[in-house]
Amino acid sequence: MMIDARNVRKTFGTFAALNDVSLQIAEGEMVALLGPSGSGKTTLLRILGGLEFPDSGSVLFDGGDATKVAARDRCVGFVFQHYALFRHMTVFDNVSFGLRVRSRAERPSKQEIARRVHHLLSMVQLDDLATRYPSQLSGGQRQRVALARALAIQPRVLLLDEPFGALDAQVRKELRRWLRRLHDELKITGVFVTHDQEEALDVADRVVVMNQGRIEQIGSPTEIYDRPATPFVYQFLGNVNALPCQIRNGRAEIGSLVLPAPAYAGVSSAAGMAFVRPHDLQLSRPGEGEGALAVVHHVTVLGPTVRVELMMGEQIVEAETTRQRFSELGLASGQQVQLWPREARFFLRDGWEGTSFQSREELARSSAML
Amino acid sequence: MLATKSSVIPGFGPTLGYTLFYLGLIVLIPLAALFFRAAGMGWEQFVQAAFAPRVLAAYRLSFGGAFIAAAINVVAGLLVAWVLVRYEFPGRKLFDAMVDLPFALPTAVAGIALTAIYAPNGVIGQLLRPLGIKVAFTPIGVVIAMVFIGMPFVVRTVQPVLQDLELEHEEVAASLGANRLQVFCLVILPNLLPALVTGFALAFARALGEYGSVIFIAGNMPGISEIAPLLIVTKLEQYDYAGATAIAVVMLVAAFLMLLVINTLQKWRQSRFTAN
Repeated sequence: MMIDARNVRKTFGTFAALNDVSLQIAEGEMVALLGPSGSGKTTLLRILGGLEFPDSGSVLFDGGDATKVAARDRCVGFVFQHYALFRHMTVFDNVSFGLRVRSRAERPSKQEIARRVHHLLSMVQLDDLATRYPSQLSGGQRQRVALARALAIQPRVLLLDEPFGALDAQVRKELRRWLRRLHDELKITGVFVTHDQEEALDVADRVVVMNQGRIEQIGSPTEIYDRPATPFVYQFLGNVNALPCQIRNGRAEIGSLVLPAPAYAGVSSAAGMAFVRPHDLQLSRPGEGEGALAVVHHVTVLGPTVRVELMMGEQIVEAETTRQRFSELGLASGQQVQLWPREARFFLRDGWEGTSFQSREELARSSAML
Repeated sequence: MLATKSSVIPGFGPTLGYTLFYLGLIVLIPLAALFFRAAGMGWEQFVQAAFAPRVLAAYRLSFGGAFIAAAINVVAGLLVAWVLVRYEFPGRKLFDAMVDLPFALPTAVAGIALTAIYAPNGVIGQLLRPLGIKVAFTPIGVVIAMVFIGMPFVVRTVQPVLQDLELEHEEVAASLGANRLQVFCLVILPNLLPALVTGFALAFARALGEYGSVIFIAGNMPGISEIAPLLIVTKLEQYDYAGATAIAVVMLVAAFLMLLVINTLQKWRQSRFTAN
């Protein structure tokens, strides 16, 4: 199903949970709503599911207005973080609930219900647990029951609120892969909320990054990671060094480091912020090639990669390098190295105060890649 | 033994000892004395005292009235608890506090007040009289007094459970297509059932033992509106201690059995879906 949310606003008391959010979701797409807590992602999901109603704006399902349609008439499968299984019902009764509550005219026969439930349960690999109660299941099993229950009504869209948030890392990874496969098989439109960037990048076709009730960026996982549109997205996705810099006529000065910033050719002098991913920092021996000098502060070996904490003047900089490069350089605490960012991105600071960033449209236009 | 020496919660010995001592002193010894007293009379004498037609009618009224009153309280109490928990309205705290009044009020006061309004010339009695309904001095009056004193038990047992119910369950049921009635009957009610049963048992037990408020409104006509506790008092006043204990023993055993059945049912139902 196609979903179209237009200019949705929602406030709780004085707190603006959603501030003019618009989002289109295509048929069969799997979309992640990614953001920190309080960013409005769950509120948006609940509005799509009819569990919450927007103060203004509208929600369209396949072009038809669904803003005021109650949850029970939306035909939406909703999965909660804490499963929300009915404790007093067996797994079978939980999954068949959505079919059993239908009016007599629409309700499938008992045999048909049993057939469908067992099909779903075998799909989630829980067929032999049909007579168990939720308290007798593990977390991962419970969440699979919740999913089967949501799928039983053959929903037009599947909405998942932090579906794997309460599970441990191993199970989470397994369920993630499993959800992705399920989605590929059923071709159902899906929206899930997460604060885990890895989960979003792993499962979703498209990621919507949200912050403070607004959408910061919408894009494919690669786009979001490689070309963050705003400083927020930069910092929220993956590690990044945020280095204060001065922008002068198309060049950015970070301490003694001077980098070209052609997009800011018209700016005579302004304070800015440079964003550099740790793995984009190239390390070399002092005197070899270009770059600024820094002192190794701390070294952590993480399997195949090595994380190096450096002091560049007063600034702490994090770099990531391979094990091989690490031994070539013979890095150790207190040693001097030369730093060169292979790739960096600059955002201007706003006005004189230098505390807030420019509006994101402007930033997107004026930011530049090296 | 249940508690091993390395239990996380210490003090099994002293606490169990204290519990047994306390229960013995406060509950078991007086009750045992009751049985001794009753055992002092012969079997025939006992049957005669405990199962005379007038006494049987009193049992019927006491147990039947308490049962009906508890049933009414389950419905009404659930409704009150629901409103107090689910809705915000001015004066909610005040209403919440009022629920406890039947607990605090001397029962005689409640009896006099109820009699005053339900008597044929009372505020409500006046309105009911043209309809041919007599409340005061009939079994209906007895039930009303029992409803009055039992209500807080249901409200106070259901309220916390209702408070802790997760809204997610109702939301998920709604998104699966259930209408409000289905959400209530299939999702909310099963979760409230244990609390409702407990509330019922408490209200029932309280109504069974109620004396003060009932005797004012009952009229105490032998065989019609006379409750068993009143019969006991009557016998005591006639210095028929053996007769009084005989009735007391029957009531005690019957009440104990009923509460035992209710609690066992509860446990059994609970164990079905919380066993791990």
